[in-house]
Amino acid sequence: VLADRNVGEVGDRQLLRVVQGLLIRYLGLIEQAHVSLSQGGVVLAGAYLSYASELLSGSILGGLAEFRDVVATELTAQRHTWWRQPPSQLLWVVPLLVALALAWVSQSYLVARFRRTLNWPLLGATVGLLALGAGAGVPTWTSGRFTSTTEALQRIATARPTATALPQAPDAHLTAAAHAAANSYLLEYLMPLLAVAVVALVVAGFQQRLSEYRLRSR
Amino acid sequence: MRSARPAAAALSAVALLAAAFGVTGCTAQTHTVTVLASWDPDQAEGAAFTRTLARFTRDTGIEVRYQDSRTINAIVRVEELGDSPPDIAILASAAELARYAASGKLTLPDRDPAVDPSQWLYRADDPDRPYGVVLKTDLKSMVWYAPDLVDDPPRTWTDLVERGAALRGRAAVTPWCLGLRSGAESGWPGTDWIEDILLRRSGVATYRAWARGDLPWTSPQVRAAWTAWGELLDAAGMVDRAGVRSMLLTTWDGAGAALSKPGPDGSRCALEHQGSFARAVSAGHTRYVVSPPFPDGPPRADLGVEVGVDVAGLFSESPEARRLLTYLASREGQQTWIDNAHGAFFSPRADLDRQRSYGTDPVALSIATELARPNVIRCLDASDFMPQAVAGAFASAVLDYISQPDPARLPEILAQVDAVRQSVRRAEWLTDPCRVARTS
Repeated sequence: VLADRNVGEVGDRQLLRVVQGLLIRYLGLIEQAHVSLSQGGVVLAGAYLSYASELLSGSILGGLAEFRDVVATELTAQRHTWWRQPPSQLLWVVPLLVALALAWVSQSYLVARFRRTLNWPLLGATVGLLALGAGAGVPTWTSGRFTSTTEALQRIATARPTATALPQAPDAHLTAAAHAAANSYLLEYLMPLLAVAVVALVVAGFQQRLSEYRLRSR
Repeated sequence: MRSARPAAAALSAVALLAAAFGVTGCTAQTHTVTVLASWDPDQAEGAAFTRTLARFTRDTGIEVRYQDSRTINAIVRVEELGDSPPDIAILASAAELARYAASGKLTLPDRDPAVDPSQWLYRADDPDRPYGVVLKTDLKSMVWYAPDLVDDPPRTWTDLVERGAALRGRAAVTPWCLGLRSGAESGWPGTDWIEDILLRRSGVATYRAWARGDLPWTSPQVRAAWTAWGELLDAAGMVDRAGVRSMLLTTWDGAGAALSKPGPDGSRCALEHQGSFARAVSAGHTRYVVSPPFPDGPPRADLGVEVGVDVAGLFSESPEARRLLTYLASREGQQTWIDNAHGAFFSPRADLDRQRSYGTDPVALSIATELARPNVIRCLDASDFMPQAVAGAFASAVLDYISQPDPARLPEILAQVDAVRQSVRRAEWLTDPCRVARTS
């Protein structure tokens, strides 16, 4: 789910790297405090500890809080995006139905006009259209899993540490669910390929009949 | 032939619909440019910068993601090890940027004509290809003063020390606004002091030798600069236990705020050695004087002023990042930046109309004029010019010295920094921090 958009992309990794860099500097300040104290520099050691504390409570925890907020905001946005709302399904259902109807009308017309049983390429194109529709419907069919996964991740992302416990890390089950919810199953590549195949089948199916029609017309 | 028309129409419709399915989601995307710099968007400097970035986005449609951190050098070093460096990093340290260039981590920018030639930075071993570009400059050889506490500007170093001594003991007034605290970069306000004293007391030639690693920290000139700083603070009565704690634990910007209004403890301060960027963090910086010369200082021909710069480097090949870098350095970008900063941004370009840019702000106009004054030798902040290891040791030495400001400790403190200087490879040092200003 996180990999689905910005969270996990370059900007977010950079934010975490900023925190990582600050942590290294924090440890350096603690070390300098230790050295100062061992040399009797109590005032200087106190100053270094003060700088380290400021860095931790300000920039480091602030950076992590910012990251948590980004994650939470993005998860909410993903859940509530218009593309995951029921009306958006019309965008692919309607063209699919129209395309299937046209395929059926074409098939019927060709059967009647040329007295053949079936136009096999056109039938293949129809099956391809059904597959395209199935691919476009994946987000709808997986919406329940997506919603529950993002909600669980958001609960973890927004949990604050207590004095005695850190927020729970995602367990293996949730990690697997997040991977599954974010998995596009290569649809971004398969669907364009399928669309090209459908077009090719339609052209092939009609080309046979058009050639036959021209011969008969002579 | 008429009978074929319905079939052809159906063919076209089915093909179009299938194609429509296929191309769903295949939309063109432009690269979002990531920028790492030190300016806090909640403060004037950062706000001016983000507004300038927003203008770029509005004009070009290219999105920019800005990440700020004062610990930028440490962060970029971590980025260097990872897979996600920013597209553009803006550092105060020219040396650090040169190090990335030498190690092949930087993408060398094109010498776009929109960038003023004086903005490009070159390494001595590669004088034909710039590795970075100067986006911002600040005057650092300057002393701010509160006009209600200091009648007229100090004229000489001796005068400056005496002013501090005269203010000593005055109720609810601290002579010098000085806070060394700056998060993980604490100590830099003190390094600025030492650099300025060395430059004004010993001259450009000595400063140049020191900044490029040729002059030992244990040399009489360097030691004299530290001693002079200690004497100034001592004369002002600021090196007792309470004063030391205050200097170590007060933030640099919090200290400057007391120049115009009482701080949390109800006291004011009268004088502050701080760069022109102080105007961006506090409204009380209304009167300044260029750091006064030493009575036994160098001849005029060897007298320079210290400046700070912010330099940008490209860490990616992205055309969008190149375009943003060129925009930020161009006349248009710099003018937009000035307009957004309300007198707290100073351009390295000499071809901007200063009267138009700062006409209603005499202090800003004065600083901008000072920065563009012809035939003046300007020297980059030495700690930004030195390798990071030496600069870090320098800042630590400042904190160490101030924590127990006993001149007898100086030899040991300076020897420690010098040991770091000697441990750094020659190739990591830059060659010349000082250049004569172009005519304006």
